[in-house]
Amino acid sequence: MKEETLITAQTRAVGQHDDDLAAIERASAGDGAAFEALVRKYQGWVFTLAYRMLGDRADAEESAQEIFLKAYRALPRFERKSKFSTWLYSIATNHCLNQLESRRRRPRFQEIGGSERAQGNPSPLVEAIVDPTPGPEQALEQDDMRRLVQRHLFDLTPEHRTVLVLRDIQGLAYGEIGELLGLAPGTVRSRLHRARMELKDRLKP
Amino acid sequence: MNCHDATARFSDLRDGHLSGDELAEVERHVTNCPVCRTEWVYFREAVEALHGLGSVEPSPGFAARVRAKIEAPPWHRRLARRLFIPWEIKLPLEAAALVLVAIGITVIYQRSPEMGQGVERPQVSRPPAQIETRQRDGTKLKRPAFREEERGARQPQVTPLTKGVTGPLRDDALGQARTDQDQRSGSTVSEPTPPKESPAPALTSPREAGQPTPPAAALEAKPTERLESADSARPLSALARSAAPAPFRIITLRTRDVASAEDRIRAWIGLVGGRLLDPPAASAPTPSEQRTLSLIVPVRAVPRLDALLVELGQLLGREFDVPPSDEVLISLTLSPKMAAPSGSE
Repeated sequence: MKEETLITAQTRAVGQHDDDLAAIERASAGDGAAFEALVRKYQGWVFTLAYRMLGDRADAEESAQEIFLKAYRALPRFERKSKFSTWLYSIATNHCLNQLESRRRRPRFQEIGGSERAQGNPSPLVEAIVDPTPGPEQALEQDDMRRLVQRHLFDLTPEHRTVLVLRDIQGLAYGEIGELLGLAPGTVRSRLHRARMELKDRLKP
Repeated sequence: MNCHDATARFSDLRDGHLSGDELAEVERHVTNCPVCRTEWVYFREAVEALHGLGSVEPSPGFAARVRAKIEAPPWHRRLARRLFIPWEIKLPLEAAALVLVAIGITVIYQRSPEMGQGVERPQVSRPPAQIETRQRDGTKLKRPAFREEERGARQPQVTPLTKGVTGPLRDDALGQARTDQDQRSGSTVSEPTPPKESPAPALTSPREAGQPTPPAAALEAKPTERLESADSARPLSALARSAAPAPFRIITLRTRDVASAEDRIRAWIGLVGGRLLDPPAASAPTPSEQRTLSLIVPVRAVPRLDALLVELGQLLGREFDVPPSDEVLISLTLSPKMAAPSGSE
């Protein structure tokens, strides 16, 4: 089977790091317009990662803003040897994982519902809380299958969710994922396989 | 290859990481094993479903909002601005605080007259040592200085009257005051009355005494003298309170006949509602004997008294600046006037 290449807007953005250098230089010098251009270019990728990882549109937008603010403040320390996109994705991934960790310490309704669904025993009350009448984020998922996948994706562990989002939604290569997460390629490969198998079992009728 | 080996390679198979014999073996097992073929279908659909989620865009204006945040001043500068920059709020608060403090000080000052006296009379502060006070029998009595200050604070209104009262006038007034007090209270206790005949008239005319006219301040007793006579001055202050003759005049009348002048004055003062503090002399005064009288005269009758005195002889004297009152205390010295050669006056 031929290797399947995921070509998305995000992967195209990753390959255009040479075009970013000029904007990065100007933004480092305090040019707000140059940094706004970088935000426009990568906001889709960053926001998608935050939304798929956090499962909430408002949280995702707030986190995306914080990710770009962190990147702007860290621009003077950005080494031009690596891709700006890889550097930005690393900031975004770590920020989302930190958000999930802080959520784990401060449980919310959605996570309580998610853990109960993971145990196969969802109570009607939790179902009512987790799946109320469609809100803004539900409106995004027009397809029932998408909503189901998003919900099961959120039920996975953060580690499995991360590799699935980075690989199967954001389209990064194994090497980039390993660079972002600080993992060896073999570890990325095995973790991705286990995550896919778990999602398959959850989606299986 | 068994089912476990085949399913372990599903991801590699999905991502195209298998090749050669390994790829052929996995494809062969999945084709021939119905369980693994079903699992492979589910696996592939799950991954495809993830791909189908696609990307999500933030709300419009996201990039502009991020730019606005990065161009906003840091939090500590914003905090400082919130605290200090809105002068239109802070200044009125400071002004209001100043106004409240000023009002508070004014109210406290008005409700505490001692504070005002303390500000106006800083000389009250004296050495904290004990003050020697001489009693009437000549023995010295030591007492704390603050008692003197307390007395001064309790009787600030008698200070002008006691300023100029010295010598026989004070003693006469003292005796009369004690008599008045006894009559009012019905007390039978009598204290020794000071001698009426003073060895030397203290309120003689400055011109006659050959001394310059004593100013009001000069008539004030020295501190030690005042302390020595503090006990004897107390009844006089009581008299002053009862008669309220705050103003004070010192007059010398040079007349040819002292006795007849005294008689005229005694008769006149009863008509105008005044009173004479000095009782009549035990023996009829001679025309050439000097007499000193203390009169309390209604203010409205003072011009008439002056007219009478001018009629009786030559009038000398002065009047001190004192607060207005209904009555005036007058020390009148009747001095014999020698017959001058004609044309000398």
